[in-house]
Amino acid sequence: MNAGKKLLLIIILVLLSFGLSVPWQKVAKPIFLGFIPAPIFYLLVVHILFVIFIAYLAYRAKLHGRVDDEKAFLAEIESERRKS
Amino acid sequence: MSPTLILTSVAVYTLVVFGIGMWGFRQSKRPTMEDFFLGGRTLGLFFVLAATWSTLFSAFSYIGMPGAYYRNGISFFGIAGNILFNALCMYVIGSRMWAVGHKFGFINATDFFAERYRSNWVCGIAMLISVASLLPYMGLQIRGAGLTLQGATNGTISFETGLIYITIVVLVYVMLGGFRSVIYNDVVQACIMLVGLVAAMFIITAKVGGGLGGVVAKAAAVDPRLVEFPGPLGIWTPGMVLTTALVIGLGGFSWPQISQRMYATRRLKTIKTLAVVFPIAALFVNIPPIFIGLAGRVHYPDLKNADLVFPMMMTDLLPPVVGIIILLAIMSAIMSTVSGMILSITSILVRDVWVRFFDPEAATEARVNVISRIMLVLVVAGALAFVFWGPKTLVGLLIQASGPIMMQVLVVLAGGLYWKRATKEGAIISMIFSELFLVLLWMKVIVMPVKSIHNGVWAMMLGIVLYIVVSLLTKPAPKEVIDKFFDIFDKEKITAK
Repeated sequence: MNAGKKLLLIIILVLLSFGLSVPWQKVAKPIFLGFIPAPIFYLLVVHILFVIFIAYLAYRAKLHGRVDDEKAFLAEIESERRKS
Repeated sequence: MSPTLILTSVAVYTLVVFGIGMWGFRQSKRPTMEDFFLGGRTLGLFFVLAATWSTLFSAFSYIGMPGAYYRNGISFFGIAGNILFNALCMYVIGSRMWAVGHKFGFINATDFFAERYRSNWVCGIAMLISVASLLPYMGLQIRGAGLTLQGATNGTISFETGLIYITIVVLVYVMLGGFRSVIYNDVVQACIMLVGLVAAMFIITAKVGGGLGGVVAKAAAVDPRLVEFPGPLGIWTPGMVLTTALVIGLGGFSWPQISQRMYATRRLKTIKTLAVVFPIAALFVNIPPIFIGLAGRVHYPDLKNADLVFPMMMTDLLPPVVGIIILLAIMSAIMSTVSGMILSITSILVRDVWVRFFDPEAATEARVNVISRIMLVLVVAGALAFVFWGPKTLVGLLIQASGPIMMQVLVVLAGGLYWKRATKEGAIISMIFSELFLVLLWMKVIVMPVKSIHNGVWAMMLGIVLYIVVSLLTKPAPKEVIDKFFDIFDKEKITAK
């Protein structure tokens, strides 16, 4: 992952964290679906966006080098164990 | 709820828990530490999800959270974002823990410290912090179980009997099969917790407000600030929401019983999926207390002790069968949290004290199981003794600040996995001074200028600065240590191969 992409991911993380801090203070309406007050609804939206961000990191961004090739990594450990 | 019905249900539940414990015992394959404490590193997604879920959510979800929503209205939901930081740690830090755990056979975070920093001091300080943070918290949970059983049976089961009962049940099943018994029981307990909380939410809100929406509308009529931020008490400002969520999320991951699950997982893919699914699953615990707490505010507008709101509604509004499920759910929440804690503390003491200093050969031999079981009893006795006879101020502080205390160790853990230049001196200074600073902040000896930032975050910022500065000023770790721990995370090395 290049530096630009890392910076972009950090910016997205900061924005999502800002969303989690509930900047919409003193907001009570509307009540979504008849039972979800607006602040909770907005928080749930940020929650889902955050989960998508984690999913992107987990499945697309390769942060762990050789370990990301899990099969090869486990095979390497197995072969080292057999040798020792 | 009649005492006979409660006693019968508790007896049946106990038999089920013992049966599962025995099943875990029979599944044990090899008499090694890896098998007893990590179940042979074979955990799949369903088990790791249920176990992490039930271990992380304690009796607080049933007693403390409805009480918090009673006082703060929906604004308390702001800190539910903690679970996202927790999940982020699972992927970012947990994946690397999984890798080094599988490659080098680590059992807990502290033995990683000993190898990565080549220092028994780093390992020892982290161990002390972990034990000091968890022991009182564990004692408190057991004590809560005694109070719950005493309250639910109107004194038919005394506080002492309830406490001893819970202690013995948890001890027996953990001693039987170690990690496997804990995990299998966690799965069953997670199901009971889920059913209990969701059923309580729907029944209570139907009776109090004619449904979820009715409760929200009635709560807004009682006090409009109950359905907006920063809440009636004005606590949950953006700064406080974010920093508290950070402290709980990062502190929660730092707890050994949670981070240890990363070592126990069979596949990296499982950790990745866990990080995505866990924040969604957590909503099932985080949402029902909102409506239960608001319903409580509508039904009992002037409660002096808000923490009694859920137990009172349990008695007044729920049918006996649901009341029993809730009671078992509370016991399940306590047992799953306590069992995970007992096993983690024991693994730290066995691996980093007994095996490291007195009996290195025991790690792969049958006698480690006997030692581990003796240590389990000592850990539980220590937890109870500390809560009952420990200095009140210290016990109170450690219980309140358990998460922030553990969070300071996260700096050293993440740094050790990501930063080649990190040194043992940086780790030692960072942990000692950030913890001291946290205590001073907590005791209000030092007061920070910005009040809407959680004390744990201030301490962590100091810890990060000290970790970086001291590491840069001291001699780097030997090359063989860096190669050992970072080659596997190095992308260039793949190309070279």
